[in-house]
Amino acid sequence: MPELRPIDRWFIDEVLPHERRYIAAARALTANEDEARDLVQEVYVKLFSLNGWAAIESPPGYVLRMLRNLAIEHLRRAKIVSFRRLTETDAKNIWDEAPDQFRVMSAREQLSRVILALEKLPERCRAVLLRRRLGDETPTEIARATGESISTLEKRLARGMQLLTQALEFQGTAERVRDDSSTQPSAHERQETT
Amino acid sequence: MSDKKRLESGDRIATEAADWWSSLALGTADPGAFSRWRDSDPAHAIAFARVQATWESLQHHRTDVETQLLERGSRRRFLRNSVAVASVGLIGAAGLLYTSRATAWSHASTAVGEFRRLRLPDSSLLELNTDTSVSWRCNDHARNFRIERGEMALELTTGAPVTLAVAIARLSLSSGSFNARLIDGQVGLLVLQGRATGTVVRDGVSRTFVLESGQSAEWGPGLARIAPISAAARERLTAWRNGSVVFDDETLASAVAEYNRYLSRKIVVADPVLATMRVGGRFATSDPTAFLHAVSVALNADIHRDAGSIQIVRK
Repeated sequence: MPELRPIDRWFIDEVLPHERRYIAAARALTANEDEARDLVQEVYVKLFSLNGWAAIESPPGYVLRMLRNLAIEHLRRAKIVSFRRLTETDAKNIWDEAPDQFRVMSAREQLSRVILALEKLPERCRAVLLRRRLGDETPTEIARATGESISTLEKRLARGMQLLTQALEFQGTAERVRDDSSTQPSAHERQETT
Repeated sequence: MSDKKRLESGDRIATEAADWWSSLALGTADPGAFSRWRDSDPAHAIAFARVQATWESLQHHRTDVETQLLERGSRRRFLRNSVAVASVGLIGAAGLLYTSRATAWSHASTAVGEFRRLRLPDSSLLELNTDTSVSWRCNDHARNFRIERGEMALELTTGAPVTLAVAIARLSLSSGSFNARLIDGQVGLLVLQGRATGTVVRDGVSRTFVLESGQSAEWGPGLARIAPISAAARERLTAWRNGSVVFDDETLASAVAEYNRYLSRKIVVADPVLATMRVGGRFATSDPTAFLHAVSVALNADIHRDAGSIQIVRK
């Protein structure tokens, strides 16, 4: 599809499926969940500015190495340096590229996450999403069936996909429940460390 | 950008990405404006890729998602109102944004008494009768179907060549309307509209055949028959698509055998005299009450129900 560039395709196929490994590694290197996510996000951003991404032999291994280098960089910049985390992480063997320990989520696990996430969606968002996805109805057909305008459908589909994506994000990490009204994390959820 | 700022803008970017994705999916987006948005910040590209990955994962699991949602729905009335359409099992393989991955077999099945309708990306329609299991794989070059068990109606649009494998039969189908079944090791095919050619392997010998509109074929152990479809047979053999079962002067034994395909609590006719009496009529596949009532009145029989079965016995 014209909207997906090769790098997007590569990112979706080669990088994202291993996200739980990155998070597990990042969590061992950082103080809390949010920092771990930020660290992973920072690596993703760097990936998108690489010219040689296509030549990377093992994208998950590459991401793990980048995570570690970035974490060390952050630690060096921090005023209080604790290498405790780094040594602990080394012992845990999370840099091992064999996917045994932090294997890609099994199809069954992934499916139950999708189902759970779908169930949490507001009814109307889910309806539009399922119609488009499962029923493969055209926008006009859905609009006719639900009596809603295309722009309303568009908003519902967007909202549904956003919530679903949020629910599936950083798979393998502890559930972070966010309800509809408070999508912004509150200030006390995190602390500045760098 | 500091960590904090990035986190706070994360939700805004996620919202924008979902908005872009949705309007692209519904065909209302300006592609140029989208490209500019995505290129302006890697975080935009990442957020958009996440939405697309979510969609693909839904696609990947779509049969299971649908099945599970329906199962839960029947327990918890989870799918109501506007999603009621899903209760007849509409699914599809919308390659909306991306379809060029290697095509895998998709799979669908029905339990005893269940009916499902599936719309494929090429607009072809599949309908699955009770206790049926089928697979398909469609791309630009070929559309392949397989019946593992049960009965399926196919309304095929014009497009890539279609093959259908049913046990010993390998068929090539034109566009049109077909009904294929594999029940008790016996293969049946109705060509309601269109044309079927193919081969059947029996006793190590492969035979080719051609079926035109209005012809039917049956193959099984010691059986190979190609015949025109009478109006009565057509009605009887396609009634299931409307939730009906039609008997046309059949023995009670064969009518009950047909009805039992739809029932988890089976009807039993132990009496040999009753079993050979002839019955006719149209009944609902979902509920045998009217049928049993007609049998009890017309054949002067008693109906006994227990947990596992329904017995038709002589008075």
